Order: sequence, then structure tokens, then C-alpha cells
Amino acid sequence: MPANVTVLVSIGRNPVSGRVRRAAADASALALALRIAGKEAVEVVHAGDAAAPGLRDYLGMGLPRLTVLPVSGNANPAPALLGYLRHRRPALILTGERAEAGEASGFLPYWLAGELAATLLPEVVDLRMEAEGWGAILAAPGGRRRRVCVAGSLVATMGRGATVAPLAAYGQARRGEIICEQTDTFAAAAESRVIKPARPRPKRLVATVAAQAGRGPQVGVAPEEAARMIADFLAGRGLLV
Amino acid sequence: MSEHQDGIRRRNPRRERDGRRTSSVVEPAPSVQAAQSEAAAGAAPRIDPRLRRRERQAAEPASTGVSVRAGDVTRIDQSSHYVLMVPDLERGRLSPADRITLGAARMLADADGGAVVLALMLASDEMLADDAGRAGVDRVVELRDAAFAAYDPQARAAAAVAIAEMISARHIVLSETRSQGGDLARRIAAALGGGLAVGVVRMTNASVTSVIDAGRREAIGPAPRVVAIDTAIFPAASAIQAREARPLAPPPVTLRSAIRDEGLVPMDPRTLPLAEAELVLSAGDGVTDWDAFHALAAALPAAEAGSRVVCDAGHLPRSRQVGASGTIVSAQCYIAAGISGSPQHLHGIADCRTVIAVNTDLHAAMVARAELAIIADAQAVMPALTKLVEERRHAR
Repeated sequence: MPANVTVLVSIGRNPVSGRVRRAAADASALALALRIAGKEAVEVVHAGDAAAPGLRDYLGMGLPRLTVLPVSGNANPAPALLGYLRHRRPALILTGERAEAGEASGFLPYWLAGELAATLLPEVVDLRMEAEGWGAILAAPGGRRRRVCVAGSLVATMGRGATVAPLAAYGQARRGEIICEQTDTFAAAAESRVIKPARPRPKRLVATVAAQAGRGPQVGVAPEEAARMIADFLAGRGLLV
Repeated sequence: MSEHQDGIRRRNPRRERDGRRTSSVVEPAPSVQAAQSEAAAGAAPRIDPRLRRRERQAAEPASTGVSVRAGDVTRIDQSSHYVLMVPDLERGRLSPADRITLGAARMLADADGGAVVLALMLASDEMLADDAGRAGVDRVVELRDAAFAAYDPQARAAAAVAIAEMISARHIVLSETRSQGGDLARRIAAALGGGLAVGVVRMTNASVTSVIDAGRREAIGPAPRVVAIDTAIFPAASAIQAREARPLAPPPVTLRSAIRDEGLVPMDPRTLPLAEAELVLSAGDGVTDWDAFHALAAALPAAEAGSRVVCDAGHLPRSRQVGASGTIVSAQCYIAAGISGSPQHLHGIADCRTVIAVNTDLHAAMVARAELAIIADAQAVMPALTKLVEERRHAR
């Protein structure tokens, strides 16, 4: 039976130590795929180096095999992935919202969805196959959750709000098989931009409300008056619905 | 002193300098070409950058637009190109992030005499509560469709693409906010082609600096078609000139989308993810009436949280702990009931926009941090606030 759920995985990097690891968002996507389709119906694809450390961590999540499309170091993996996915036509492509290293622009899922004429859903938390397509729960601003339905093929990305993937099992990671698929080779496009190490750039501080700051603590107010002040404060910021 | 003392001719440097000055007026003004022809004759190519700029400016007016100042409003009648800006809008207003992004759009437009076009995608009953002209917008395209009332990024992207194609926008600028501008920018870039720069932190003339490699490196290059601004870092425009905000007719579009919004899922405030919540009600050691606390959290509704002391005592689960050893919250408003505010706790709420403190101790650190501090017992204020919130909700 051909796989109908494809998970795209990348090699991650710890944001603090820079150590190579599995990408957290990709691992969440794989965990969700395994939950909704089972390990036999899930195909995991990585475009890059088959010997990359960290790749076996995905196998350790309970996968028998993993497909690698060989792409040289700094080449764009997108054309190789598109060629492969065009041929496979999965009903669902799951991946992390952006890579943890490299360009990491988060554009690849959008580009693939456009080329494959699939619908893209960002910030997916949960997903279920339904009669007429997919039912998804998305992370909405303010920690809320939104339910949407999508008909047809779907590219879903995971990031904020996604459940943290379980740890990888060492034995399973050793046993799993890495299969190299030969694809057309695409030369790396010439870089027209100047690439430099990032300069530390301070983030703008969240503006605190100066108008209220001058008022000082409210001493000796009755509970009802205090409640009214808090309710007005919240209503003024649109936080009371 | 004589110039011919002892038969030696002494030079007068001041007179010589004056002589040089008058002669330079007669000479033809030096130009880049002249300097280049000198360079071709064997001299090192030394070109004054000011000359280069002056010559470029002299050659430019044909390509740039015509701008007129009428009163305090700057008008661009014939723009050489358009820069489309798609705002996030926060309750019908331009958000602070939108204003910074408008500044970036202005820079891209001003580099070559272009005009900034604001794309408004509104549901039938929505309207922009801000003055777009005062925010520095030359043109406004207002597109109304019932689809914009629901969550439908596909329809919004299709509409933005239609507007961009109608005005043949040279650049489309958005703020890189989660679930809004950041998502839309990538959708538009996928539909239009012509490149995308995300996480843009600086801009000069038409070159952009974008952070890549998860913050480790940055790339500097010409601005692509779609530009997503990191509004937490991108510098805000210092002075904004008022513009005319002339309305343009929207393009005819039929929006079709594969995404069907089924609305927000009702959630138990106890399970609302703490790190993402907009409104957090947090309890400290000063809270003893836990029924009143839970009732207030449900009435607001707010995500429940607590200090380390409260979680240690088992009143709330460990996952609800705020602070250095718990969750770092970034709420719009953090209501601290009976929390004194240890440094570890204050570290956990450093990203919160506003803080309300209810505490019996006037000298608590949390009271100093709060925008609204009420010196009262939380046990009395919590039920009163629950009652008031429910009354106001019923009144509407």
C-alpha cells in the first residue's frame, strides 16, 4: 500500500548550544502523523545528507524506515522534494513550520502547497481524517484553539501549541533503515545576497502603559470599587468579552 | 610687511587661496565622467561620492513621481510605482506592528518616488477606526467580502494578490506576526513569485537585511517582491508625514477557499495554554479562597496560573507555575492576586504588557511593577469582580 501521509523532516539545531538534533517541530509533526495514520502508512522524507547526525532520532520515534533525497550542503532542497512529492501525491504532508538551521524562512511548505495545488494550514495542533477531507485544530492568538475543515489534499505545518514529541528510543534509532532515493540533481543557485554573522539586535521592549503608571496604588478602596476599576482597565484593552 | 623684502619673493598663502577659489567658478564643474576619463588616462579612479549622488539626482526626476505639499498633507499625484502594505489590524485599528511596517513600506516607496497603498480586507460590518492618511498612506484599496469575517487566510491571500496585480505593486510589505502577516506574506509570495524576505530587521534604499539561520546569520540583498518585517526589531519611523489616503477602486474578485472555519473551540480556562494566553489570572500565597479564584478565572475567562509557593502547596498543578522555574508568560494583561513578586516570579512576567496587582502589602514588588495596583484583600475583590463581570455580560 503506498504511503498517503508524508512527513518532511530536517536536521535541527539547539537554539542555545547549537548542537545538532532532530528539529522539534518536525518531530511533533511526525508524532502526529504516527498517531493518525500508524507507522506503516507514514513516509518520512529528508532532503539533504543521509549521514547527517540527528537523522536517526526520527527513526527512534518508532519508524522502520526513512527516505533521503541526496541534496548537497547548501543547495535548495525544494526542487528535489517537489519532484519526489509530485510522483507520490500524498493526501497529507506534515512538517514543522520552519527549520532550525539554514535559510529557515518557513517558506518551503507554502511553496510546495502552491506547486502541488494543496491547501496549507499553519499552526496545526491536532488533525483528524473526516468523510469530506480533514478536520484540524489550529492554535489561535491568546492560547485559544480554532476548528477548521479542509477538503482535498493538505499541507499542514506545526509549531506553536504542538505537543512535544516523545523521546527517541536508541535501539529503534539503530535498527531503522535509511533509504536513499536518487533524484535529479539541482545545482545550488548563486547567492546574490551578502551573508554575515548576525549582529545582536535588541528587541523593542513591550510598551507599558504610562497613562496608568502615574496613578499609583489604590489604597482603601471598597471591593466593589476595586472590581469596577479592574473591569474598566480590562475593557479598555478589549480583554473583557 | 613688503612682498619684496631682501629681494626674496615671499608667497602670500591667503591671496593664493582666494585666487584658486575664483578660478574654480569659471572652470566647468567636475563630473563623474570627467573623473572617469581622468582615471582612463592612467590616474587612480577617485570619484567623490557626493558628485555621484548629485548626478544621479539630476538624472532622476523623469522616473520619480510628482509629490506636492498642500498644507501639512503630502500628495503624490503621479507615482512611479506602488508599494502595497497589508495590515494585521487589531480590533479595527492599525496595531503598533502595522505602524512600524507602514514605515518600512514608506522607505521602499520613497527610495524611488513611489506611493504606499494600504490594502484593507474587511467584513461587511467592519471599518478602519484610524486615519490612514495620518499614518502615512497615499492610497487605500478597500475590499469587502463576507469571507473576511471568518478565519480564511486563503481568501485573504487571494484578495491581496488580486490587489497587488491590479496596481502592479513593486513590493508587498507585511509584518511578520504569527497566524496573521507572517502566514499571509508566505502565501502571497508563493502565489506571486518574485521572492520573499522574512525577518527583515533593517532597510536602506532598496536593500534589506533579513535574519536567517534561526537568528545566527543575516543576509543583505536587494528587496524582493514580498517583504515581511520583524516589527520587534525594525526601527520605527521617526517622523510620519500626513498623506492623502486617496481611495482606489477595488479589483473585482471572486474568493474561493478550501478552508471552512468552524469557529473557536470553547476551552476550560484551566487548560488554556499558559505561554500563549492573553489574559492570565495568577494566585499567590495571599489567596485562600480557591473557589472564588476558579470562579473568577471561568468568568473572565482567563488562564489560571500561580506562584511557586501555590504550586508547591498543591493548590495548582506544576504546569501552571509562572516564573524562572516555571512558564514564562507573555500575556496582554496579568492579574496577580496576592502575589508579592519575588525576582524569579517577576522574571516570568517580564514580557507581559500590563499587570494588575491585588495585594494587601503596599510595599510589595508586584505593586511597584503593576499598572493598576489595588491595596485590598484578594478574597474580597475576587467575588466582587466575578459578580461585576457577569452582570456586565448579562446587561449586553
